[in-house]
Amino acid sequence: MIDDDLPAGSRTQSAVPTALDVAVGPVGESRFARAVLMTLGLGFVGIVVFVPVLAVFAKALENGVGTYFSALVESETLSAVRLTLSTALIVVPVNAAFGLAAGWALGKFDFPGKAILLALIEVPLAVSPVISGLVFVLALGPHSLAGSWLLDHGVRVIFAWPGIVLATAFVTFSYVAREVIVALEAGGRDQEEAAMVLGASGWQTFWKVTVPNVRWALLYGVVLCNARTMGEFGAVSVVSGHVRGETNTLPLQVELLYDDYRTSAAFAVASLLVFLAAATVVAKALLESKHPRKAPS
Amino acid sequence: MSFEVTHLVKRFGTYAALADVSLRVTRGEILALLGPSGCGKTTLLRVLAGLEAPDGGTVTFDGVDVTRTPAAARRVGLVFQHYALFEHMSVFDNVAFGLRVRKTPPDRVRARAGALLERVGLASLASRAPSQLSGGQRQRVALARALATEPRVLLLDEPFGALDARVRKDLRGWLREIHDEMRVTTVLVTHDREDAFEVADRIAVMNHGRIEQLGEPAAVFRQPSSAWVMRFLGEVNELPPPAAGDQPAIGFVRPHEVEVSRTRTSADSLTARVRRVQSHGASVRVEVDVERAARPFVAELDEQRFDELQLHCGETVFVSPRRVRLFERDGASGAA
Repeated sequence: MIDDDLPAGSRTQSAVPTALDVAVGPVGESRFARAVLMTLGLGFVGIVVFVPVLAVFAKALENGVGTYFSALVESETLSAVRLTLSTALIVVPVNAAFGLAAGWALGKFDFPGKAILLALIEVPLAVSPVISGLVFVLALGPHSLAGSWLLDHGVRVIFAWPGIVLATAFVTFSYVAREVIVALEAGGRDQEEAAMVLGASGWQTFWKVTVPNVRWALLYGVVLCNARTMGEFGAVSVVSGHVRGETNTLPLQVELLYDDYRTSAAFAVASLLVFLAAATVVAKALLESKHPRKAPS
Repeated sequence: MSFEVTHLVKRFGTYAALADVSLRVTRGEILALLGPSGCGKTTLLRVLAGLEAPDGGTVTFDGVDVTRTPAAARRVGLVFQHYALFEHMSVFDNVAFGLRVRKTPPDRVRARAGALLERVGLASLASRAPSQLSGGQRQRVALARALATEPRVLLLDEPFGALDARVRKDLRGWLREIHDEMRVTTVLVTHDREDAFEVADRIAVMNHGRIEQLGEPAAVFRQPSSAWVMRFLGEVNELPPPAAGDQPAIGFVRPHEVEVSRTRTSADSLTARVRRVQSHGASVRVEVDVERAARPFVAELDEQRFDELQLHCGETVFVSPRRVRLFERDGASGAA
């Protein structure tokens, strides 16, 4: 037997610089420059992120903890929580499945029109959410052909929960696909080809090789998609119709309370969204520390 | 298994990766596809594996046409250049993969994968993740995985390309040993002459999507079929053109076939001036400027001969080729 067992660090496979090489970079900037840059960076984050978050809690708690909690258990708020959660329950799995399928098609295969499809996937990120909502109202609203047909058959889409789900799904559908495409392209096709040569069918290759390889990217996309789904305002605002206790999601409920001059309650509900954001950031950091998104090797 | 490809053509856009390749590989041999990058050798391997469909020509395994047979049904073993191990599976699961997707009973999977890991010396690392292995170990996992399904033909794409020189040398010997034991018909793609000459029974030298020459290593080295092959297979000195007359032929001489002396030994002797002397341990490389030659000559002397001569830079000496190979002056095969 040969004794070629090199320590992992001395492997000769990657001639490309590793992430570490790049991260170290040139050192030796002056202490002063560093101090200025850090102050600027931290100061900016403080003004743009920290102060507003603090303000949310300050406002929410200005009339005491009792008011804060009673604002959260109001029936309208609870119904908004329910609507937001059930929307996410539908939208996130659907978008995860769609994102995985689209990501797989776009990340692994070359076909005519690929660039166009790639661009289309990005459209929801480029278009203002209000416009997205409006498009659904025009397409499926009571005055549209499809909408009036649906109404005749007893299905209300716009100004009801199906519209909210549709608009939310549209606005958030890029997140999973984008992450999965990046991961699949970085991974190349070698492992899939290896699986096929070993006798695996396309189905086996997909589930045993492709999906496990992108599982972290998929999860990452799901976290982002979920955060956006629960926090979406613009598109949902247009299609919801703002029926109290029925078609208001959490962000809409915040607006409603605020417009009713119930500032403290509005901020109490807003704090729920802050908690969601915090949970998202933590989940994101955990995923990244566990599996840093690596460059193709 | 023996196999044959006839008149294979594969184009990528306007670029012909394979331009009419025909080849026959006999049962149990190792054939090396040797050539510079972009010569079509990897494309040929991928066509054999079924990962690339040819635009023309046929592939037959034991006389059965498999040109349109999908990769999964061909029963070939392929070791990728960068191994393409399944990073999310253990070493054992990698080797067992091909058996499991074919619904092999679990006890047979355990026995077969275990025996192969034993054979490649990695039984103790069976539960490791591929990322925890060294380059040489990963290569051996890839080989065990490819052999697990008892392939009819084993295809190796630059199997030593990503390894350093010492590991490379060891693995070449080891691969030959495994092959002599299992006798699986093997095709090895490489750009490295040493890989091909050390491991293969026969070598197909490829260039521009064609096979330039096919034969046993010694024969290919001794009788290159063209100036291009001559240049590709090793360092050459190009003889200066004769003083008068037209030049239909071009003459080459290998460095170890150049004689250096202080006196004119034959009518072929050329006057030269020593330019550089470089010791390589057992041999000494002497660079000389030869009259009328476009580029300096390199002569490779053994230590003893060099000690006799005691050459110094700037001295005038005589060089005479012990063996000259003549080729037609051909524009097409001129690039090395």
